[in-house]
This record gives sequence, C-alpha cells and structure tokens, in this order.
Amino acid sequence: MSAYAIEVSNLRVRVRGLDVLRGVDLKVRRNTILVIMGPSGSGKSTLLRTLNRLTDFIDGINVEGSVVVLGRDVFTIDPCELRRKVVLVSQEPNPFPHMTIFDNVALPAKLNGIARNKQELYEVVKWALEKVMLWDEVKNRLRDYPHSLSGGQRQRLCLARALAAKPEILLLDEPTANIDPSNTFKIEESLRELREELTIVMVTHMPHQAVRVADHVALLYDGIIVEEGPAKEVFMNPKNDITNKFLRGAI
Amino acid sequence: MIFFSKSDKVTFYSILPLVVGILGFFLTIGLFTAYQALPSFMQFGSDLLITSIWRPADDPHLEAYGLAAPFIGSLYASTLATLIILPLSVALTFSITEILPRRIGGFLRVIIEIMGGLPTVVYGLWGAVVLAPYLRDYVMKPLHQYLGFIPIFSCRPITGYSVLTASLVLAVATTPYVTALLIEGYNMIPSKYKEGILCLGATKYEAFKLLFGLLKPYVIASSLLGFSRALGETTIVALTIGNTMRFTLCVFNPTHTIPSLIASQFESAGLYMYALPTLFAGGFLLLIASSVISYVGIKMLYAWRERVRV
Ligand SMILES: Nc1ncnc2c1ncn2[C@@H]1O[C@H](COP(=O)(O)OP(=O)(O)O)[C@@H](O)[C@H]1O
Ligand SMILES: [Mg+2]
Repeated sequence: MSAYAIEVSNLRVRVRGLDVLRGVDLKVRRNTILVIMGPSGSGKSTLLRTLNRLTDFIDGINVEGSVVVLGRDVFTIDPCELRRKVVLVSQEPNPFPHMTIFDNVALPAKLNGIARNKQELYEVVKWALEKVMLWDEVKNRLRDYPHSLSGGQRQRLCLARALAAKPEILLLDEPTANIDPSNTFKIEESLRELREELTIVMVTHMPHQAVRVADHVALLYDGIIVEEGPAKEVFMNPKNDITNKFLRGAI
Repeated sequence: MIFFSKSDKVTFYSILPLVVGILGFFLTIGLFTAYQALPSFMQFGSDLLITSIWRPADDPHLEAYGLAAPFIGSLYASTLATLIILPLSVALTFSITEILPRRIGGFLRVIIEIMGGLPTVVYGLWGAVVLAPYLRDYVMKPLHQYLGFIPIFSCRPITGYSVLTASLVLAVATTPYVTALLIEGYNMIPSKYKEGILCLGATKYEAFKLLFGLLKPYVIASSLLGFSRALGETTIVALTIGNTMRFTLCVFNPTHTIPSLIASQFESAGLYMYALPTLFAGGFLLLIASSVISYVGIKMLYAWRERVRV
C-alpha cells in the first residue's frame, strides 16, 4: 500500500475552453491534513472535485492527467464506489430538510451498508455526531428536523453525515466559510482529531485557518500549484513571491 | 391604514377590485350553481345522493332523479386514473431528468407538453374507437376469465365501454400534465441537495429516490391536481364510460360520471321541470369535491414548505 492516499500528476482541466487547472501535481500522505489555499477562482473547488469525480456532473468539462486515489486510478473505477470512500462536504450546509437529524446521519451508513441492525445504526450515528461535537446539543432531539439547528450546527451535521459513510478520505470545500467563530473552532478541532482515522483535504481562502489545521499546505494560483510543503515551513519561509503576497493578504 | 406608506396605499386600493373580483367570482359561481340546484334538492332531498336514477317525465310528479352512481362513478374513475398516472409520471420524470441524454430527454419533454395541450376529444375518440374494443378482447376478457374472483374483475365485459376504459384514457390524457408539474418541481430542488446526495456516492436511482422524498408533498399535491382535472374531464368520459345510471365496483361495467351525465342530458333537460336543477346539483357536488381536494393539496404544500423551508 502506497504511503500516499492521493497522487495527482499533470492534471489539466478545461471547462468550455477555459483552462481551470493547468498541470497540477500533488501528493497527500495518509492520515494527514492537506490544506489547499488560494484566492477565489484559482481552481480549488475544481481540483477537489476531480478527486472524487464530482466533475463528472459539469457540462463541457475535459479532464486530462492522472488521479490515483487509494491506489486506484479514479477514471477506471465506478464513480459511486469512489464517492463512498472519498466523501465531500460542500461550502453551504445542505442537510436534507425532509429528514430528521438522526436520519440525515444514518443515510450514508445505510447506503454503504455499514450498520446491520438498528442498534449498530444508532451507534454509528452517535459516533459521528460525537466526532463533530454535536451529540450533546442534539441527543434529545434526534427526531427534529434540521431547520431547528443554527447554520453552524447544520454544517457540523453535514460533517457528521459525511463521517457516517466511514470514508477513507474527507474532502472539505471551505466548510467554515458561512459560519460563526465558535462553530468554526469546533470543526477545526474535530478535523485535527479525525486525522487519526482518515486523510483530509481541505480548501480555504483564509490563510489563518490553514495555520490552525494544516499538516501540509499547497497554494493554488491561477490553476497551478505555486508552492507546497509542510505547513510550518511554508508559513515561516515562503519561497514564492505569490505565496508571500497571499499570506500577507495582498491577493 | 397605518401599515402602508402613501404610495403603497394607492397600490393597495388599485389592486383591491381585482382581489374582491376574484373572491366575488368564486362565490358567485358557487352560489349560482347552488341556487339553480335548489329546486332539485328541495324536491328529492337525500334521495338525490343515495339513489341512482334518471327518469324525466312530462308530469313533474313522475320525475325521479338520484346522482349516487355518477357522483361515485366520478370519484372512482378519477381515483383509478390517478393510480395509473402517478407511477407513469414518476417514471417519465426520472427518465427525462436523470436517465436519458439531455437532448432526447428535452425532446421528450416538448412532446409531453404538447400532448398535455391536445384537445381531449382526440383522446376520447381514440379511446372509444380503438382502445375500447381492444381492451375488451385482449385485456378485460382474460382478466375476467382468470382473475374473476376479484370483485373489480367479477363482471363479464360486454361492450368495452367501461370504467376501466375511461380511466385509462383519462390517465393517458392527464399524465402529460402531471409529468410536466413533476419535472418542474424536480428541477426546482436546490442543487445543493442534489450535490449532497451525490457526494455520498448515491447511484442515480438512489439520488432520485431521496430527492423525490424531499418533493413528496409536492408530488401529492400534483396528483391531487391531476385528480381534479380527471374529475372535471367531460369529453373523454362521455365517449368511453358507457353512460349508464348504475354503479358497481367492477371496472368492466359501464357507468356515468357527473360531467358525462351533464353532457349527455343537457340538451333535453330543459324540457322537464327537475332535470336541469338536478344537473346543477351534480355540478354543485363536483364543485364542492374539487374545492375540498384542491384545498387539502394546497394546505399540504404549505405545511411542507413550513417544515422543509427549501
Ligand atoms: N461548472 C463550471 N462552469 C463554468 N466554469 C466553471 C465551472 N466550475 C468552475 N469554473 C471556472 O473555473 C474557475 C475556477 O473555479 P473554482 O474551481 O470554483 O475556483 P475556487 O474554488 O478556487 O474559487 C473559475 O474561473 C470558474 O469560473
Ligand atoms: Mg470554490
């Protein structure tokens, strides 16, 4: 088994004539957190979405290069199977509004056949909600609907839902962009703990968030990774001028 | 009025006639129908609702009317039609939105919209001339022969004009309308939920199932609207249901619906004292049924929006 959970080489993505990614090389070690930083429009979401082939749903997209995830070429395996192991949490909280808090978290466990009976299902749901520090807040209202939760709680519910699929890789696309500091803190705390169990790739446009959670960082700028490395090194001694500017908030 | 600014006040008073007009029109239609029906209700009382008879006579004392068969027939045919429409339109929606290549799906959608707008008399003629004899020979007879122990198949099919034929043609004519509603609703689901389920590795079928769950009250409301439409449909039913003042559960038997009764009796109804008022009584029953059904559907939709806040 490779030491890397993700190996991307020479990835080029074009969307209707526009070069979004222009030759990206990237490796992510198992059980680490990689944070991809970069200004808006630099291609972060697109890069993240090629990792579990959510890009399949974009019209007029053309993907070239190699993406190997968990030792397998993503373009040769069943995309649904891939997405069950490589789960993405998007920017806007999207718990299913017609399902209870419990059922939202239980759904992926059912889809993936993780629980064999009610008791096991309950255990999985509890485990996932505890991981995101939401259990104490919702344990007495698991039968309520998600609209009774705050935005930050809803996002943590989505994170719990992703975890209940028992993925090997977790992809996060600016998961804290729309939520308050205390919920952001809880999510960051959860991610640091979760690293023990899975590999995490997070996208953010906020450098200080990367400082708090990353093991490794990569800076994406205009479809190219201009700098990457262990978080400390990059933050202390950015080698690239663009990185320097980005960290100072100049771009 | 303290809640309005000056310009809002002007707007308010200028739309007032429209609001009052619509309310007034709804009430007028209802009251007019009730008023016209009154002589029949007074004369026949509850017999109008529990007997099935159409006996006009020159001597008003000999006239006898009862609307039970056409009223129940209306509900029965519409219910059967809705039971056929629902799976058909869900399957069509799934095919068009998720399975077929976009171009073919789009083309099919246009065809469906066109079919939804066709004059129903076209469906009615096809049902009467082509479908009725075909159904009798190749569907009803075998069903009666092998499954005759089931009450709805227990009677011998004779002409082919029957509840079953009418319901099927109603279903064919109404499915495009309900399908168009469902596709519209499905496309209204915010993309974040679609992404949410696909992110979990759901197959297209699993995703559709979940998203349709999200849409459930909308689906029910659409079915009720389809039901309402079938309830009021006249031409198709008059041409295919066999127009008989008798109701049985067996779907191979002919019966009447209120609209088919009105269509077939209106011309001569003016000759008798209570015939026309009785037709109005039928219209009134239909109006009440349709209003109640629409009201329930709309209430459900509101309750769902409140809970789900899509
Ligand atoms: N579905 C799409 N259709 C058209 N253009 C797209 C699509 N997705 C991304 N792009 C383009 O790709 C570029 C990068 O987008 P994205 O990956 O969302 O960047 P980021 O997440 O860093 O803000 C943008 O210029 C955007 O306009
Ligand atoms: Mg983005």
